[in-house]
Amino acid sequence: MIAALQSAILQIIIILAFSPLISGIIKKAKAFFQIRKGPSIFQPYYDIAKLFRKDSVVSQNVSWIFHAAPIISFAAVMTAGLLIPIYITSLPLGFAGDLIAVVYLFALARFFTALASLDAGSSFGGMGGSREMFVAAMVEPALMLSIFAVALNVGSTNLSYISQTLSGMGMDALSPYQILAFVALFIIAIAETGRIPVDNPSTHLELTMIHEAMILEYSGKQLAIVELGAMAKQLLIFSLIANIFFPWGIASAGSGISALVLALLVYMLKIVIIGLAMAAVETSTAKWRLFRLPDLLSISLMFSFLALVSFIIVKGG
Amino acid sequence: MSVDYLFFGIIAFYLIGAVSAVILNKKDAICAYTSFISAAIAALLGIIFSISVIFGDTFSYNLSGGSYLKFGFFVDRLSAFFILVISICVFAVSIYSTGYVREYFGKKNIGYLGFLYNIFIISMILVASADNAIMFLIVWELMSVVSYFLVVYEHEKPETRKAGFIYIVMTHIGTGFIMLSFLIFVGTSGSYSFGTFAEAGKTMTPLLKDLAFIFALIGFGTKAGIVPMHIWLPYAHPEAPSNVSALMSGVMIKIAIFMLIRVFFDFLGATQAWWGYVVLTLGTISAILGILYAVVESDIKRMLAFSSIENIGIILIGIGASMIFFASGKPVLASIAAIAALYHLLNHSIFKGLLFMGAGSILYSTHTKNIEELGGLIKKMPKSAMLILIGVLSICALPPFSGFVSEWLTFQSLLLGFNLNETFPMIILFISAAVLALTGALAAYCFLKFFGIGFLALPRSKHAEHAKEANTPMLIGMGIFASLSVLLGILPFYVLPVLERIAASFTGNLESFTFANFATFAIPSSMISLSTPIILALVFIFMLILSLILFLINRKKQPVYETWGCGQPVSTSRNEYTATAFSKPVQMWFKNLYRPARETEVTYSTSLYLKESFKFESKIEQVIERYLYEPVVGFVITRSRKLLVIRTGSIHTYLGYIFGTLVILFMFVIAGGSS
Amino acid sequence: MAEIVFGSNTMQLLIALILVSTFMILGSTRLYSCVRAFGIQSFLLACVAGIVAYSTGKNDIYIIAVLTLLFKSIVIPYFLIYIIREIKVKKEIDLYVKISPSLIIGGGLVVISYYLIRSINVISELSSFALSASMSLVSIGLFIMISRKKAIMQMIGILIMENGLFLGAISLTYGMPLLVELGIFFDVLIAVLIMGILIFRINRTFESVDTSILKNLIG
Repeated sequence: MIAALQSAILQIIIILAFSPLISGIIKKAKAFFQIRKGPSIFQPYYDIAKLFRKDSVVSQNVSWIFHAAPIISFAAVMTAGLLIPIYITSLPLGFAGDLIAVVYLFALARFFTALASLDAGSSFGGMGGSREMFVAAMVEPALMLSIFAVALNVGSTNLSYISQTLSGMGMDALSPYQILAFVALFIIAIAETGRIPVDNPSTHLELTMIHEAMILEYSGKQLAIVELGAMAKQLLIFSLIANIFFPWGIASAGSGISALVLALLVYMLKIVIIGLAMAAVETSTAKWRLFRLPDLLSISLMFSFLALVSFIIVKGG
Repeated sequence: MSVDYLFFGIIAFYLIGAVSAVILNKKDAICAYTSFISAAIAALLGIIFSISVIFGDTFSYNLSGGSYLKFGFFVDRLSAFFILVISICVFAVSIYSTGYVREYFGKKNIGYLGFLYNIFIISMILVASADNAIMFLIVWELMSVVSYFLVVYEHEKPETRKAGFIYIVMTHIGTGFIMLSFLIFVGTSGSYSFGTFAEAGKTMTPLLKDLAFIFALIGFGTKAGIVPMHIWLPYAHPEAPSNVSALMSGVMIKIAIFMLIRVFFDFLGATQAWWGYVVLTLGTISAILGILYAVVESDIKRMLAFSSIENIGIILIGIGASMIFFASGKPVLASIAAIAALYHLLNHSIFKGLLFMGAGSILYSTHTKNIEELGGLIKKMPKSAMLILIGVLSICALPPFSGFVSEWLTFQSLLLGFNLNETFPMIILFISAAVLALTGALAAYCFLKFFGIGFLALPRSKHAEHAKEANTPMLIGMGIFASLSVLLGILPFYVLPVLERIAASFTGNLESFTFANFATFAIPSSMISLSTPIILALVFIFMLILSLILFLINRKKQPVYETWGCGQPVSTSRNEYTATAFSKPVQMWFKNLYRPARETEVTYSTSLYLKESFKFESKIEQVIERYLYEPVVGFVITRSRKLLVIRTGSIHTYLGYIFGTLVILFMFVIAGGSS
Repeated sequence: MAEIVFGSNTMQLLIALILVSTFMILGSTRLYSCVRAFGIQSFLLACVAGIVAYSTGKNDIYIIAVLTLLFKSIVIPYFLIYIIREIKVKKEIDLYVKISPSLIIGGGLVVISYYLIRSINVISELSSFALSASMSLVSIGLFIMISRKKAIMQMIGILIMENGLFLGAISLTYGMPLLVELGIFFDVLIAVLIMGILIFRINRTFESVDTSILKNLIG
């Protein structure tokens, strides 16, 4: 019981400590690709620390939803964090939910953030919320199909079981359906983390924002929570990709301390590589028009569908 | 024996409610209280009765001893489950109604409403417990007609009359198909008793079975609101008084689902896999089309009606998957899918009832159901807003509320399709899962719009500005449903064993889930488990910690300022995002389906650069109505005009027709006798 | 033998990637990225041929692999890009069928190809993935030719079809005899050249390479 609690708390601490860093690394990498110097990779920590010291200015129109939303969203993301294997396959609370539960916890977080966007009565907020839900609606079918493709491979949506089985398979884990599902899930990750070509995380024009427009009314401590929640969500999505598609090196239950440290290092390496890939994609593409996004996400949908079909073909239906 | 008394006690109390409503017609308040409270008592009895049947023996009672036409009641676990659903809904809705009908005091005839309301519920309970095709059709017809009168209760409005007309026509077409389906059974079994239908189902030829399946699907599907037979639903449900809409959407369409399960599994034995494919496909289409129309709708009650179509679709996806598994000889999977469907059915009854009652409260206090005229209600009616928010979270399937558990189960049962080892069913199950995921996301979109535009920010009209909190009985009624929504979400641990027993009554498999510590339930074959209480607890713990931290570091009062408007003083309701704008991206995305027509009208003052007013109108098209029903209706009408030639107006011609008919009949008899 | 080669994990990965590249062409609206994706596809195909050659030890398949690498993944893409640059066409592809429906149709074609192969495939169960992929390539190539307006896309479509045939041939029989294979190669090369010249002519006549304008030619 105590060990389980320790392990859960450790996991939360790792997520919180590491998620701003990965944001910083992505920003730095983008700057590198664009031949800029860019801010330090620790800048997100400074930003959050600064925001936590500042007062929140709130709109005069808001209700309790506006104040509760960041807290609920953050709590939902953190709960999802306890259901996703990070560097070790055994999760103390892993029995409480599976991959689909994780997806719905993210949906809970998104729902409240979008609700809060409407609370201040600003058109920007409404636009952001509307677009966020639009993108989410496009992402969802592809996401579910790629989850199914992965789940088919091991016969379960239990996340620690998936990573355990796949890491035990060695190089055989790289099967055609895994590759196709990976491509699909990578596109989804771009959309879910609000990156180019879906959303521009560094824009300063209200009309082009999605996620940023949604949280436009937040400031100070509340904004810090929202930002930290978004970064944590990004880290969790990267972890999902890392541990579902490249599960090698993840520690299993009962490993010694040195094995755990090694697994943690491998995990960080994987996450950084995914982050660099994101930065490369962001640099090499232009932002798409909102109404061209269905095309992008139907590419993702098709890949996840192909993953399923090729699973059936290869395994001989 | 005590069960007998219970059953007749239920009917007696509803009858008391109905009769007292008529007798006390003159005194509005007393009339409302007696008829609705008596319905609530009957509902309590109904809950006790159905639970005792689910955990005990089936209940049957014969009214007459004849062998050919044997009238009687028969309640097994499946029908008891539906009586349970009816009773729970009726209990909360009746309490709500005592408050809601105050709106009609002095304006409308309360006794009439109370009478119809009680008779409507009796008819639904009798439908669930009828043991004979003739008796079934009588009470089914009673249910349809009474619900028609309830729909046209506010008959002074022309759109209500139109809605009622569409409803009565569609429901009769449905009844016609039900009769056809039953006649096929009767033709084989030689008896009208439902007990013999199952035997008949085993001996029928495959062709007859297929026909019985199709007719039953169309007939009951019309009542359930399955696409493409759904067109009456978005007209009829919004026009009825809100408490009745809650019952119609919450319960009445579920009765049709009950009969579908009864016919497919009990009578026909669910032997053909393609029946499952058809049901699954129709369910998937209903789910996606229902929610797509709901998203762009700005009339609250119409939106809820479309969302009912969606949820019926989700239920049918579960049933279809169950039929596919059952036909492939996998009863364990079949019962998991059936449990998913039943769970969602129960959940939907409750949260949709809650949302319709919420819509009623909004209507009650603002006199509008147009979402564009609302806004800011969370400050005017905080308690209702809280309860409705719970309903919204449940219908969006967000953890840990009730919808989440049933949608999770539905996804898992679709995923279990990989046990089939056949390509086609796997692909169709997975496509259905993808569409279901889209449906879920759009449902979140839709209800986010409903709550966000309707309740948050600033009031958009005078109606919303003068809104008042709903009265106590209404809040109690909604509160019951809201707490049930939460409980069904966090206590699947206790609900699933009950549903297992019910699903076992038609799939024959009792143990589908395993249960573990921390209120966890698991599907053993795919090694997955879910524990919503743990999820809730975790979310709560994190919220608590975070709030504590914020409380500790946030000593000063938060400064309050205007909403950001690029530096302009724009903090008025006219600058808010509208519901139409909010759902515009979806409208653009699916513009081939909606075929939107827009009209804009600009008036200028003095110069072309100064716009005085801007009028925007946007309409979407109901594709199925337009391209499936209108041509048929048009064809029938033009043909019927042609038939007018036989109406000559001369009595001699008419007598001639009768004579001609007689002669043909004679010939028919002679021909039949000679062969 | 075929079973072992085409059942191996690497081979299946390559074939999956070939499918990915095909869908990249189908899902793209830019000429350059289509050409690039085609280059990648041919490169993957050369890898397939290389592996087959390695595991069967047949030298002529090596030659085919090298030729594929050389011509299909380098020369032809460069030639296509040269054409695009020279005649300064708009970089966007005009479509008869929009991207999302195109993709859905593409997915449907893959499923249909799989069913088709399953119903006729008696040779080996394990190469069915390669065969259905080749079948899908052929049908998607044809679909691209039907649904895209630019003449260059018609070329890419026919090249995809050819790649599909190549994949099918190599997975069934480890490639046709060298002579036949070489013949096909030069056929394709010449066809590409001729089509390239034709595109120049179309462009000169109509000031556009939109093939829908060719309707004007009927009298």
